[in-house]
Amino acid sequence: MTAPLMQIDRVSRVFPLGGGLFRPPRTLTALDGVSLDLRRGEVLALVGESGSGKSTLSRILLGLDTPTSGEVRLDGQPVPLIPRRDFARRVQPIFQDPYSSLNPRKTVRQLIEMPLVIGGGVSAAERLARVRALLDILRMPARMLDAYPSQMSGGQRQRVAIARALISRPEIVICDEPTSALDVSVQAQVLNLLMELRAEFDLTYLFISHDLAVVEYIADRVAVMQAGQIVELAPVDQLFSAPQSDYTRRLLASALTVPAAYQPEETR
Amino acid sequence: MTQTVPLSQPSPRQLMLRRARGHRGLLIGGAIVLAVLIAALLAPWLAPYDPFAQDLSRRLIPPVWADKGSWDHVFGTDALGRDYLSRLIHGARISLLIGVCAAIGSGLIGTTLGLIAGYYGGRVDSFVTFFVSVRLALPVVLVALAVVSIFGGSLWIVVAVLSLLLWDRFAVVVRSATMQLRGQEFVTAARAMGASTPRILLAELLPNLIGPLVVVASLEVAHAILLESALSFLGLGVQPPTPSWGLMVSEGKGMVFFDARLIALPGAAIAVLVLGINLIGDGLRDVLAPEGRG
Repeated sequence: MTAPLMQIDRVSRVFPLGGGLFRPPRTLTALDGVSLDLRRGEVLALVGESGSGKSTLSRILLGLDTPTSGEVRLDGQPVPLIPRRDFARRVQPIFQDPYSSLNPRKTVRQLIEMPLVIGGGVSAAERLARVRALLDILRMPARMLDAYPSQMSGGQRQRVAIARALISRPEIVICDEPTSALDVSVQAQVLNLLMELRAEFDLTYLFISHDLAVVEYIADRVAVMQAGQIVELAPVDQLFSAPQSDYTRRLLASALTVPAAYQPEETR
Repeated sequence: MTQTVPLSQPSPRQLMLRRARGHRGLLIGGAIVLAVLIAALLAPWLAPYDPFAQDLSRRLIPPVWADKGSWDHVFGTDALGRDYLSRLIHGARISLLIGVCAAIGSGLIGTTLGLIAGYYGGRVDSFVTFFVSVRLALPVVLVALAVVSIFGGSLWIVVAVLSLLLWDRFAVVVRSATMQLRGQEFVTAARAMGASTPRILLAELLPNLIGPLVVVASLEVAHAILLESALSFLGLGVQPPTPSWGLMVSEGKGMVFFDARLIALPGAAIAVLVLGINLIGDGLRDVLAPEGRG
C-alpha cells in the first residue's frame, strides 16, 4: 500500500467558551483525537450528525484552523511547514452553499481564475485559456465568462465553484456538503460531474455529507463521526451491509425516512 | 464560441440603470449637481467678469430685476463693486472642491477603520468603536474653530479639518456591512485559497461595499459643503477675497436690511446645491440597495 496522501494524526480541537467574571471558563471539544488517512485517488466520505465535528475537521484540513493538538501531514510533510500558498494550491475547497461561496461582485471569469491570481506566476492569457478549457469540460457555454453569480442557477453556480477548485490542479478537493443546497435533480448532475472529474484530474476527495444516499453512491470508504470522534471507518459496502457500531446503525436507520422502494435491500 | 445569445437575466448593472432611470429624485438632484458642476468647471469662461476685480465707483449696483438694475451686472455688485454673478459662479468651485476633497479624505479614514473593525472584530472593533464615540463627542465647529485659530484659515486647512472630523459615518456604515459579509462563505473560500488579509479586505470585501459607500460619500459631500459655508461665515474657513458662498453671506450680513440679495443669493446657492446632492444620495440608496442579493 502506498503512503497516504493526507494523514490526520490524533487531531484534537478544543474551543474555549468564554466564562463570565465569576464562572470558570468552559471548553468545547469539537474534535477528540481524530486519526484518519486519506489515500491517493480515493473518495473518503465523512458522515455524522450536525455538531459531530465534521466542519471543524474540514476547516483544519483546509488550513483555516489549527488543531489544539495532533497534526495533519500532506504527503508526509506537516502542514504548518508547507508554505500557505503552496498548500492552498494543492488542497482546494468546494463549499455547501453556492449562493454565498461566490463573491456577488465578480464575474465567472474573475471567480474561477482567482486561485491562479493568488498563486501568481500565471499570465493573464494563460489564465483565460485555462478558465475556458474548464468551462468546456464542465459543459458551460463560454458566454458565461462575463456573467455574475446572480444571473446563474444554483447548479451553474456550483459548477463555477467546482471550476474554481480545480483550476490550480489540486491533489485534494475537500467538499463540504457540495450538493445539499441544490435541487435533487441538479444534485445528481453535480455528483456525476465530480466523479468524471476525479478520473480526469486524478483527484482525491474528502466528501463531507449527511446524506447517506449520496455517500453510498460516491464514496470508496466512509468514516462515521460522533461527538468529535471517528466511531467507524469502513469500505462503503461493508458499512452499509454490516455496520459495526451502534451509532452507525442508528444513523442508517434514521435514513429510512426515504420511501422504502428507493432504499437498497440490505438497509431495510 | 462567439454566440451573442442574451443571458436569461439582465446583469446587476443593467438592473441598476433601469432603476436609476425611473427615480425622479435622483434625476432632479443629478440635474442640479450637473449644472453646478458645469458652472464650476467652466467658471473662467462662464463668468462675465473677473470675480476679484474691484470697482468702488460701481459698488452695490442692484440686480437686473430691481428698479435701477441693468443687464451689465445681472445679480448686481457687492460692497466692493465686484460682479456678484461672477463671484457666485467661482464660488461653486470652492464649495465643490472642499466638499469632494473632504468626502474623499474622510472616506479613506472611515473606510479603513470600518473595514479593519468589521473584519477583525473583538478588541480591534472595541477600539475603533471607542474612537468613533470620541469623535462623535467632539463638536465639529468648535474643534474647527480651535484648529483654524492655531493654523490660520485656508482652503486646504479646511479640507484637512473636515476630513478628520467627518469620517465617523463612513466607519460605522462600513463596519456593520463588513461584519455581515465576513461570515459569508466567499470570504472563507478566499482564505482557503491562500488569499492574504489585505487582498480579502480590498479585493473581496471592498467591491461589495461600493453601494453604501457611494451613498454615505454623497451625503458627506453635502455635509462638508454646509460646514465650509458655516466656517467661512464665521471667518474661520476660506479667507477673503476668495469667492466662497459662506464668505459672501458673511460679507453681506451688514447690509441685510438694505440689500437682502447679498445674503439671499449665496444662501440659495448653498441650499440648492446641498439639496441636489442629498437628492442624489437618497436616490442612490434606493437604486443601489437591493443589488447583489439573492
